[in-house]
Amino acid sequence: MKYERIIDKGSVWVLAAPLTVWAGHFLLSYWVGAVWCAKGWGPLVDTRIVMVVLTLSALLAVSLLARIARQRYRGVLVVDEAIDDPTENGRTRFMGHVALMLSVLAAVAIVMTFLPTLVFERC
Amino acid sequence: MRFHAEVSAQGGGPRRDLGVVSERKPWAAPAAFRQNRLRRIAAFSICALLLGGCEGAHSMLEGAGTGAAAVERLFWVMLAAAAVIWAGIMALAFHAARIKAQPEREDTAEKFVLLGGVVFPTVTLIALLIAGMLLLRGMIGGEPDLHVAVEGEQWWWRVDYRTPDGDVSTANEIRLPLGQTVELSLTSTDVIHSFWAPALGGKMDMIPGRTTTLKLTPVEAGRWGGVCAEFCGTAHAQMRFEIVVLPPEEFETWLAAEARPAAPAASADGQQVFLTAGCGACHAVRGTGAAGTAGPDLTHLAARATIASGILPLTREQLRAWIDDPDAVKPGALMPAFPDLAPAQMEALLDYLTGLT
Repeated sequence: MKYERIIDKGSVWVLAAPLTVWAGHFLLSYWVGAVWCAKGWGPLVDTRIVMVVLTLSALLAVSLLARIARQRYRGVLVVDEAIDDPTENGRTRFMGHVALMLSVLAAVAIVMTFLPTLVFERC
Repeated sequence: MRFHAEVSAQGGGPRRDLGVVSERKPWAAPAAFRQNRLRRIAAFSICALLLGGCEGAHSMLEGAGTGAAAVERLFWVMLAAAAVIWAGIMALAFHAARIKAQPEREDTAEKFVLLGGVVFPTVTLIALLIAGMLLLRGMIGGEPDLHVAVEGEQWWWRVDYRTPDGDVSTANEIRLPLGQTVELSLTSTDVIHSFWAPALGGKMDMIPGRTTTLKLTPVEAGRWGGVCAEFCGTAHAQMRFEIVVLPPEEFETWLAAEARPAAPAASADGQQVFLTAGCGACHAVRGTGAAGTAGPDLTHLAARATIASGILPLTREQLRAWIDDPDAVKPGALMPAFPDLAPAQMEALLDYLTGLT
């Protein structure tokens, strides 16, 4: 791989990514809601359909990240596993573990951001 | 107020006793200690009784409107659930402090922590979120029977009804028909205010340049209190209003009366004073030529129960004090003082104003 250090080996982006996806989803939900209401695009494309697409994409992105995290973590999932061996392998597993937990958190948060659009229809 | 005062008075008792006990050393005085505990129990019971005082025109537990009743239901459900969870956690904490450690059961403990500490709160919070949103959706409600426009201004409320006989403008007193759904269109001319009649329903911001709406369905007749719930300047705390819920027939009669022009002047001199002193620059009295819009419409002033945005009863004396120096009565009030009116002029003016039924 060409940029191994940046995109894989030992890099920490996978820790920041899940919650960044949640933040992006949160922001886009508000933007889409505001723009759709202001422009009156509701009859054209239902706001809720846009929100569903947005939410599914965000969940897909988070699940892909969770897959990467899972690959790094390896082994059977223990929620509060203490991974503290000072080796390259230990570090990778530790970050995979944390990233996996953060992915779950991000997925729950994305669903909670999405819920109001299911209940409320109007602008 | 009464609640706080009496609680602190009760709180004073045990504290004094503690002083006595500590002089005699608590471990040497079991009788005093028991007495102290009894007093504490008594204080708690009195607190519980006083909680029954959480009622009145401004209480969200009055259930005088469907919105307030829905919020109240949610409140009690949440309170009960929180009490159960709290008691459960306390029981667990005591239990955990008393038992011996069992390292071989660590796996079970971990599962318990995961379920009780992560899964349970997540599910509970999502359920509460959904319950709260469904409640909010229910409060948005269906088609209203009546529209009323309310405008927040520093520091009073302009209330406008549209009737077939013409527009009705009044202030600080919103009359509503019992059992009908009213849609309030809320706006503001200066800063952000917030409309809140706790006994009847939810709270809604009033934002300059925008119109927000709030629906209320009163289910209990009576006079209910309302306040501005968003700090809006000097007299924010004195920016109050009343919602008077009437049987529909009475409401119609009142509205028809409000739509009529002002009653014939009870005092021609008073009307003359009203017009020459410049009152009409800010206040309207329909049928007299006074058509100011900066202050409240006074066409049927005497039909209202309060002045100065709900803070004072409408009596001749209060009205005199108000006209003489509004700022002294309600610091920050924007109406100028009229200290130069001769006594005879003032009396005539008061005759005129109190005759505006």
